[in-house]
Amino acid sequence: MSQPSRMPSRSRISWKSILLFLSILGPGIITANVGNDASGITTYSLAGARFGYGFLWLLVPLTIALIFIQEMAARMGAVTGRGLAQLIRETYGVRITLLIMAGLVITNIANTIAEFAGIAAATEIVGVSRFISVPLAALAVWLLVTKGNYNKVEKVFLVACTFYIVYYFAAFLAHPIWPEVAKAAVVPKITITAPYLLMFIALVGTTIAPWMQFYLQSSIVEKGIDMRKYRYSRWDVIIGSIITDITAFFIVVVCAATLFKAGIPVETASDVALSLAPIAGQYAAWLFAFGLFNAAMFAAVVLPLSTTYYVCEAFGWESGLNKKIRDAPFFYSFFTIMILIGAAFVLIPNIHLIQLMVISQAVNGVLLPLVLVAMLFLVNNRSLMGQHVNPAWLNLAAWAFIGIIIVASLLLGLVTLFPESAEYIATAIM
Amino acid sequence: MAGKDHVRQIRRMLEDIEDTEKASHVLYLSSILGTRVFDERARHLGRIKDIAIDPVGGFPKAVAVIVKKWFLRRRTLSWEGFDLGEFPQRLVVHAPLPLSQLPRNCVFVGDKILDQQLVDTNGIKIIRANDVAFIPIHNTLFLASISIGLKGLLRRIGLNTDGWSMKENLVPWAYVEPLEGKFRDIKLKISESRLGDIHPADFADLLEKLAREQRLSLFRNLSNRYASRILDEADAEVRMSLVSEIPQRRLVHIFTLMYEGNVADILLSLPEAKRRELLVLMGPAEARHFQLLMSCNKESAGRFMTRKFITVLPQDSAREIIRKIQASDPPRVLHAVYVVKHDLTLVGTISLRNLLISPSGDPASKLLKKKLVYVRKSAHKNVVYSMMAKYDLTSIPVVDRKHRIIGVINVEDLLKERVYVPAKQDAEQV
Repeated sequence: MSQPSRMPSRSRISWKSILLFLSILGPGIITANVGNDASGITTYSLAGARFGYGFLWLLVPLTIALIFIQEMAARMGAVTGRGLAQLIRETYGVRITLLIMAGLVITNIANTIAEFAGIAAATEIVGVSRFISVPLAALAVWLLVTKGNYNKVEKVFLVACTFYIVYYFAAFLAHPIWPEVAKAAVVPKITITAPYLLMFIALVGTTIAPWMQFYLQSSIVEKGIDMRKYRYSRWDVIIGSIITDITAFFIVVVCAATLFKAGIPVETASDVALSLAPIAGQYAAWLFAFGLFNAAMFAAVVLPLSTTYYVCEAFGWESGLNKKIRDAPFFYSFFTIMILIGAAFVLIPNIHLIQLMVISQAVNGVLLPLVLVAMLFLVNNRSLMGQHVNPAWLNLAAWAFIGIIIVASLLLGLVTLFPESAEYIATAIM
Repeated sequence: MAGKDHVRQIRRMLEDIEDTEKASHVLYLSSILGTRVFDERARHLGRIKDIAIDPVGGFPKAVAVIVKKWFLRRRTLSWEGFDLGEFPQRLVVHAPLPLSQLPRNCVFVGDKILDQQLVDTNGIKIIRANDVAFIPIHNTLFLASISIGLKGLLRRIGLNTDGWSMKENLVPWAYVEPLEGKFRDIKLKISESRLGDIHPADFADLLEKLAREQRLSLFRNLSNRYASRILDEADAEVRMSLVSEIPQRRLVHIFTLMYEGNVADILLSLPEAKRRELLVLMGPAEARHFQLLMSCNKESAGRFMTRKFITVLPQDSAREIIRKIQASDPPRVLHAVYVVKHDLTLVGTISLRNLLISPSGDPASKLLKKKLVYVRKSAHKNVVYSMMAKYDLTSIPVVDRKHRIIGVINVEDLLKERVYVPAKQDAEQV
């Protein structure tokens, strides 16, 4: 092999390569799917309920961006054998690392709380008190990670991924007008208003969350994927991203075809599930609730896990699911604390999580471009990546994407502060 | 010798590191990086970006500095000519010496050591290098240790931690082994292969810096021979703390390899019960010998003599004597062989020089030194020293009342003692 091929050879697809692909499969699909966590489902639901099919077009470019960015993280993991947090610490030093870590920990604690809130909401729809479901869920999550090894945990995760299919059924139960859906999916419709921009940024932020890149790279490293096996990982990433966004697509469709049509205002994912029953039938509501429960449980494992990975990497403590508790004490204690905080917050009576979520979204908005810029510099660093640096077109696409996020965030700030400026900007762009 | 002097100074400084009061002796990389550099005409050359060391020896020296001005001008200067006088405000360099070629094997501290992963000998990740401590002596910088504590981390984000009561957590450079390879993990070498490179005297100093647990685990891995040399070199306090921690059987084995005067000192400072246990473990001959040593006055010849010497008979030929030396378990120090009759009465001394230059057929009686010099075990050490000085001896036999040889005093063992030399003798030497 004189030149390691960047693309899998198309000439022959043998059984052997299919088996190899199946064994490599995991990190990409899991990471992308966890992107559809409790807050992800909420965001997509609200997008459908408030804007109808108006945001469907965004999902296509967002999927492409997700594939590009995830591919970079996976490639860095395979080439360097190191996690993203590790590379950031070694290349940029303590200050930037601490800044990014602080941001990540804040958003991930907030998100973990949101996952447990999602578990509480989903089980309460079926009539189970959160004081039973949340502690049980926390215990299950903790046992899975502390008692399992990477292979076992990954299998459980992959099973969790398949349950997202309930949203496909829910979408059909909602009886949307399919030609209308198809048209909205390809024809962009942009308006410059504060709610639209806010939703735009929320959608980008939930689909391409900063922690996902850290988690993906760490799990590629822990799975021991190197450049030889990497071409299969690339397909893992591509398939994962596409499946995930198809799920997101159907969630938007469910809510657009029912709640938006009927003009029912909703605030949370459990509102959505409850409001679905009278319009689309009890089954649709249950499917939605089950989907929410699955997603929240899944993310309640992965989010604390990913946080623990990168905090340990940044400080150089031993980490990984295959390590013994004795060898990686920080890893396991940090994970435990994350779970405890997440579960405990939800059980405090009369607590309002909305403000926490707003702060988390804001931090996330600042963090995303920062992490992406750091990734782009790292992936183009020849002393790290050798010949596997980004091709020019990918850099161009990535910078364009980062530019769009920054512009959207700035626009949001402007429109929020000066609502009357929205019209001027709108006319200037059109 | 200047080198020896440096080592002694460094040792003193190393002791100071623990002492936060005197922390001004230590310069941290975090404070050096970014310092402005001026030439002697006060022209600004740029800021320090990195420092290169020559990683040879226990305390590597800084050899080169990367100075960067604005964005692009980056220069490599030799450390020669750098003046630490005005640090930390600025660094002045007399006659900047640009280096077109860096010394071979030199290591950039900021790039290759700072923020890198420390792993133990089993490859388990421990922590990252948060800072690097240098010791300045005159205008030379010596790398002393790696800071792995919170204090180093806080300094890195720009906090001024001087005078904080927080403990600086340092790993002496002697324990550190940069791993070669594509990436730059640093190994904490607690492996014997590299420990062998450190002189036992330096090692004994380093042992003092360690916590009891670390010291024990380190000592456990040493060979008995190396351990015996460390016990010989360590000062009384460290020596006794080590002795109390070594299992008795091993201790007895180590004793047989040590300088006997030291063993006598150790035995004498142990509690009666423990001393008796050790003597029993030693076996009768050994025990009798040490009891003799202990019975001698602390300042007398009997305490400095060793019974590890080689005796020959008057009729042995030079060839036979050499063969006898080769066949014996050679003593740690060997200056001469002693000619005795069958009843061990001393006949004379043969220096190794005479042995080597004489015809191999000559009998021992022909090779003897002209003057037979000896001392009694009760002789004061000052007398022994004077006799050695007067007759240019490197060793001197000790005899009992019946003129039988019972031991030998080597100059090395006497040198460690504070000997009073009368002024008259001093004058004679010059």
